[in-house]
Amino acid sequence: MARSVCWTAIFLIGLTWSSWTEGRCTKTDLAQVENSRLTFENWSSLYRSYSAFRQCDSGGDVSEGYSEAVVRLLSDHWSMLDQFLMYAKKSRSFKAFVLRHIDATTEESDLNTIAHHAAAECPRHAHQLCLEIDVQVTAALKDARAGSQ
Amino acid sequence: MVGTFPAGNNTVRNSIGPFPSGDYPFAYYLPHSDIANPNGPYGLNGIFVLQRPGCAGCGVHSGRANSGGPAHKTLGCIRSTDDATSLIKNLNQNGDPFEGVLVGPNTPVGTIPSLFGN
Repeated sequence: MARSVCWTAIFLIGLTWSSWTEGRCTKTDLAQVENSRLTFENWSSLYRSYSAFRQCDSGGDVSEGYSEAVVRLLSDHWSMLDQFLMYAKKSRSFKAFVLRHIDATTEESDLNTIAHHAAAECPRHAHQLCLEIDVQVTAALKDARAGSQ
Repeated sequence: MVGTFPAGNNTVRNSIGPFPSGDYPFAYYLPHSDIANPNGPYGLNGIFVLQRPGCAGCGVHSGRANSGGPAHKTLGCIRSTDDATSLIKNLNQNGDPFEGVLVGPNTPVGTIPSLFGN
């Protein structure tokens, strides 16, 4: 009986620890994401990284890497937009993550390229997503030209 | 004093914001050699991460040399030049360890607030 209570207690402590650490960026998470390549060849690999390490997206190094990755995919690989659309439908939080990372830490020329893609090369079925991308690009360009926070 | 370099503490809206005035000890170095580029997000020499409460990975890096350099906004980091990060890296690797950054009062738009060296 005592042994059973002891195992139950260990199990409950394990569960509590697991749920407590789930939303935190642990040192192990941080080391893994910071030492991984910050270039993503497609939306699947970015989605995998987001799923594993979104808790480390708190500003600084990791977040700036994600911003660069998002803008590279949208500006250099616009033809993959359908992949992003698929993941955006699958996960609203991933869509919000991507839109948030269209920001003023990136190059204005890349932001302008994305604006052009969204306005002139948007597939009809992705119209709403292109509008949302365009809104974010406009805000990022405005922020880039504004002064310090 | 081993050198003086421009540095910006200029962040995007909806971010953790600039480093408040204070003393930030060095935590660790990440080379980011896969995307080392003067015009890339971190510049040529990676990032020197500092102990900033609430931000895992905020530190000093360079980058965006072709679009404002140190004045180009970040998501909570201090941006300087490749010359500055190269000097920090070389000193750090050659027996004069980088200890951290002292951030002074934030200055108005367009000015460069920080200074490096020890």
